[in-house]
Amino acid sequence: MLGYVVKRTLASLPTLFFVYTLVFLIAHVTPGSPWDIGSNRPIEPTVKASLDARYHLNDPLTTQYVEYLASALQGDLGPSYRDRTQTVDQIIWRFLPVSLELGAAAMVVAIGFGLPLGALAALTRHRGVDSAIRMLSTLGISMPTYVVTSILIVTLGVSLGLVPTFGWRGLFSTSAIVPVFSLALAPLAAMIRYFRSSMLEVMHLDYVRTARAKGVRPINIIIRHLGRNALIPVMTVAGVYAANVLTGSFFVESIAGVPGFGRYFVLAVAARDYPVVIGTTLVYALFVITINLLVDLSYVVLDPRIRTSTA
Amino acid sequence: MSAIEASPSVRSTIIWRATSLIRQRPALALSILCLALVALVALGAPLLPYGPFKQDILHRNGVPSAFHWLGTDELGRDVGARLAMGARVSLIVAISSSLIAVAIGVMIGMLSGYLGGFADTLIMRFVDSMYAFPETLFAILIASLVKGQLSGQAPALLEPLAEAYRWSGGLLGVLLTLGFTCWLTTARLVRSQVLALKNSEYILASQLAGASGWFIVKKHLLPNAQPVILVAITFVVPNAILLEAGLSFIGIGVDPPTPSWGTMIAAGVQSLQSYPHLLIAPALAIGATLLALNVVGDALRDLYDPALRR
Repeated sequence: MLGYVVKRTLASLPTLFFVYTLVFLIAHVTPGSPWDIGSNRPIEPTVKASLDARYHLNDPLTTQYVEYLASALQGDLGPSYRDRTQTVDQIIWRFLPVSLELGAAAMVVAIGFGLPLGALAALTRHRGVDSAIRMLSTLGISMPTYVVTSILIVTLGVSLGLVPTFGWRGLFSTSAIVPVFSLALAPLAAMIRYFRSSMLEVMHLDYVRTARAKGVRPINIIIRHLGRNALIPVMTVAGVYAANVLTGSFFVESIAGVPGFGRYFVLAVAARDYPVVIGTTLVYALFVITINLLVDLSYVVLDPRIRTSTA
Repeated sequence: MSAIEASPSVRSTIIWRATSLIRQRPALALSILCLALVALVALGAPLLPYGPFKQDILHRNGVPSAFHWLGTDELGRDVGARLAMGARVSLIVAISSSLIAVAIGVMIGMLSGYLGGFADTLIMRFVDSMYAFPETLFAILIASLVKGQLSGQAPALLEPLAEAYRWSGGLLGVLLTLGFTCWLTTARLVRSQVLALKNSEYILASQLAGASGWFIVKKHLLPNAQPVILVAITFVVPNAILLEAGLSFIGIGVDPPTPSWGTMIAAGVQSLQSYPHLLIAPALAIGATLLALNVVGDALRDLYDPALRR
């Protein structure tokens, strides 16, 4: 098990390296300099030259590439160009936790409601309940987060006055309801859909019939025999969505006024703030890789067959 | 000869199954109707009484009325007319960017699957690594790269592209961005299909008869990968529309004043407190379109891919 984790971690290093190279290239091929965007007047050439010199922007790209990589490996993601009093590390520490909280809460809601609803749909297959749940899931998959967020704010916030229309007062306040729910809807819909179909798949297998024949209580069959085996394909989907929820919270954050990281990233791209762009992307890629690793580990926990083959 | 005779009957089976599917699922019929309506509105946009740019200064932020069915925006422009133009943008995006993305995906998937060996390993390592790159971030980065290259003083090489970019009001940039972003899933699906087909006997026979790689791809692999490509399209189209609106929402998609549903939603968010109708109209338009596309996509997947049917 430990060997597997180590092996997988080492195997993900080239991926991180690839992402770094790609984002470095894209950032530096994009025209414009960090100093001439965002201000109305063109910047004084001497000032620009000294800024370039201070942040080593005149060095050959290969040198910049190696030097940034070297410092990033030591945990220093560089200074921010746009917000010159802060380093990228500080910015990440300030904005990322809010986005993470939001994303984690959304995933908890999605899994917590998605699995029971998916199971219910599978057990009541082709009946009214099933159709209703399936319709809900198609609706959830189709609705863009910004549409859900805005509709919720208009109805719950503006019309009914139940929740604040803008701002963030922490995860455990009414201000979190709209952002968490809008982020949770798409993964929730996906959980329902995939759990339903994988439940239906295992439902007809022999061991389920055996369990039923030997008189195991239905609730135990559902949880221990059906649920556990049907969970494996769902974990993959959950991993993909967890990564999306973490990185795609930008729209929700800007509509609902959550001071998160997605919003900061877009501003940084517009301002050619290379270290923030590169640093952010690396952190996100790290998250995606970690989530995928966790998903693979969950297979090992869930399925004894995989457990024996990796040990 | 027999192949020519076989195809109409296959086709008519598909049509028969499609009609029975529509009869079974009222939601599907409704979705097809909805998409037809969107296409109709997009095509008929110039026929509407108000142009999307015409300002009615006296009636700014107007609520829906007999003259402006969906109200007017902050500059007094007719929301209905702008929605119709936005439907055009979405339609163009849906068709052309998914064509680009699927073409790239099919090409890379075919290449990878057919060549196999080291090339396959290399390409698939690339695709796998791309999955670690969050899609939204990648799209935002590529969009600002494309926009930066084409909107300023473009290098001489890119000048014709830049010309087309300005003419299209930034739409070309979006199409290129989406084309470069959305091909991953297609490539994976096509590759696995090619791997499954590659070792079949008729391909072996064709190879032994001296057929070139290109001939095999054209005559055997492409036609047999058609269902998979279709399935890929059903994933790519809604995703492309969603991403276009997202990029326009952030302000790196279609340039104003060209209306896009994304820019309209962004403007609606600004005046959310006082004029919620400005947000509701484009939000519902894109929501309904995507919903309809997904329902139709589900049906197409059921129709063409029995393995996925459940």
